[in-house]
Amino acid sequence: MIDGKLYLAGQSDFSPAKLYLQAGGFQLHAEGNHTVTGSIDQLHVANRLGNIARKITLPDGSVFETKDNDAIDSAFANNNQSSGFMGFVHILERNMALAIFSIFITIGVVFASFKWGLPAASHAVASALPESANQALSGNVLEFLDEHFLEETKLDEKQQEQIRQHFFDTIVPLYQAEETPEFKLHFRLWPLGEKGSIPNALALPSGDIVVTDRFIELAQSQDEIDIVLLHEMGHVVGRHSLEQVIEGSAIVVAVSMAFGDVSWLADMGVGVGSFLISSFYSRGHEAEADLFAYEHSLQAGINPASLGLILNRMEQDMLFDQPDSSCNNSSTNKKPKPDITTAEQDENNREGVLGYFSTHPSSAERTAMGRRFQTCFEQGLTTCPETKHK
Amino acid sequence: MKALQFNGNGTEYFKIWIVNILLTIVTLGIYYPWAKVRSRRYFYGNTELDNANFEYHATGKQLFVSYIIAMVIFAIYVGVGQVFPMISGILAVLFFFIFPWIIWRSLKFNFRMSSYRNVRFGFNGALGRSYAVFMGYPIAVIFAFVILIFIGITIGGGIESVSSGMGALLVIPMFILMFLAYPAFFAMMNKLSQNYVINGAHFGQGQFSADLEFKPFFIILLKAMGLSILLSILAFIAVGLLAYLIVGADQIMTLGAQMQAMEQGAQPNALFFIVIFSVYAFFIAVGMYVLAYIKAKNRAYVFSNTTLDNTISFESTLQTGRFFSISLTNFILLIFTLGLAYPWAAVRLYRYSIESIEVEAKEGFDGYMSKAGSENALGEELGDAFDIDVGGIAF
Repeated sequence: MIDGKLYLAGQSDFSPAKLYLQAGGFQLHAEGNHTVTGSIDQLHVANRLGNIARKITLPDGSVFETKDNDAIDSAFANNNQSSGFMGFVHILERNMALAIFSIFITIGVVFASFKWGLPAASHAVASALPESANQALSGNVLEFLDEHFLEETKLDEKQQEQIRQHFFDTIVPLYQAEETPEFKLHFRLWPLGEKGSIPNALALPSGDIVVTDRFIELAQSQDEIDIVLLHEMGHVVGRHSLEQVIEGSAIVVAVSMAFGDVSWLADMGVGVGSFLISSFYSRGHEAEADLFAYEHSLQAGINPASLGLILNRMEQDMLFDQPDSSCNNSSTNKKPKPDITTAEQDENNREGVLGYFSTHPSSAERTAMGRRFQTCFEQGLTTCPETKHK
Repeated sequence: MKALQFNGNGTEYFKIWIVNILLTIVTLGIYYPWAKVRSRRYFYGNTELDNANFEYHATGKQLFVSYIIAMVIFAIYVGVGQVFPMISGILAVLFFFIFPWIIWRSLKFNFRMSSYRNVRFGFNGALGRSYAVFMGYPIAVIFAFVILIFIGITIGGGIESVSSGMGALLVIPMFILMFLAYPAFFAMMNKLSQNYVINGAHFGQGQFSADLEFKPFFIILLKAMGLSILLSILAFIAVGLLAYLIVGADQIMTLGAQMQAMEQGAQPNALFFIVIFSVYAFFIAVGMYVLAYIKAKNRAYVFSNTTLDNTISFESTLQTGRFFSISLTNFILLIFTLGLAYPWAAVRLYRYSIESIEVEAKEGFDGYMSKAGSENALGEELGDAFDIDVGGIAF
């Protein structure tokens, strides 16, 4: 006997009721109401979900509702209705071991698709798209940067012309492909504070490469400028911006499918998650651009070590050598801490050619790559096949 | 007054959620509509008022058809956009024109698929009204604003005179106007959309009704603006103080440069990392608090002005502080478990939202009957593909 309530078809009024099931038939007694009898096959039983009230629909449309889910399950165990696919789903849901097993499968699949599936897919999509997509992405980015961040260069015309000449005559021809992007070189000043300026080089998908004055000032050799420009060309050729956009949107779609019900929570999660993931991917892109720079630098006889050197100098410049901050203020401020840090960093500075990469634990791959190309360069090779590690 | 009650729990929902994800992955996304139905049924089915629960009736099959349609439309949109960027602009305009229809359809479907005590809800708001509220009104506001600016510039004698004294006199009221225009727009949008949704909804033969005004919504938004300015200043001071204590004044100046270096892939100095992290943390917290405030106040106003059949009335007891603390701890929990705590977070938030709804039904819920056959057939076959949550009333 199962206790519950009986609602007449489509009505909110109900009366307490008892359901008896035996030998393929049923009897339903509703208080102050008639008794219904019939065959068990005439009942439609809703599939089980957690412990929410179970509905059994009678042939006349009235509904018997009970919270005694277990009694229903055992009474209808021989009846095919409560099994089927959703019955199977409920067995999965009830089983904690299976749930834990599902966690591992889910994590495994999610990890694998982020680690290999997504980069491969977005790479394929990015290379399949026409050049116009790449151009569209650049849009007015340079105008925007000019308006908000960059100022006109203070380098003299002669130096600019010299660098540009060298870039187009020697560096650009290194990359030969069917569809070569049209590279353009722009000189800009990126101001920081009162007197400082930021050393940087950046590439837009359209092939526009921007180098800042401070970067040119910091570069101590032609090789250093060349290899950074090659690195930026690597970003353009690899269509990294496009890949990043595709990856970003794929992540947003995937995450909102998993966390669909409470959308604002999902928004927050997506924001933080995609920030972390995209910084992970951009590391991969940096390594790819490095590879491009190293490979072509060997052909042109540029020392691969220049990349580590100049990047290291740029970082140190950003952190500690800004003329308007640390020097002036440290005399007035009596906190000793920052000075010690600076001294330590100076030690690191002299650590060696690959200091830049080795201070970044996550870029072990980049360091190894740098070393490999450095060896090849010293042996006078123009290509550097990957040596087999055992 | 009787409060709604939620009987679900995080662990039970966790098992449902993880199986949903697993099956969605294994079937390459095909299972998704069925997964959504199971989640919804779980939340509705565990929501009780006066010992009777709510129910969600849509089937995976219904949602599947519309899910496929939505996917095809989306694929066409993306595909066409890549090859002919011009046409994708036209498609976007087209979408703007069908948006009110989508809202209207979603409302009809979602109300129709919900029931309480064996009686279905429904929605009989007019389609034309949806166009007026979700398309006509926003367009009218944009036009009015453009005209206002145009008039301002003409009277002021062109943009050049803005720097002169005459221009400045005009710029100040314009500025104040723009500052007020933003909350005014959203207050008006709240009034129109909530009135549309509530007055169109029915439970069986009983009609919901509400007469919401512009002013209370506007005051809530103005207070929220004031609150966010105040809290932002406080957060700014707190972060500044923290940064001063941790890294010292001289290095704060190079903060921008450090962030720049980080974007280039540099390893951040641990102390700076703490400072940057706390900037984000403080401002996320401020944003959450203001959103919680708006939600609590809006809901209290809307509920207390809503009746069913003029005999059943509602009240919201949702408190800003409590809602905020649940949201914030959920957020932290989600970050530290990489999203695995989502089911517990969702249940906590839903439980508080539901249990802070009170219903006064002196004559009870007897005597209601589902309206049979009055809905059009399309509503039964085609589900709600676009997941639009109009009005944001967590019911």
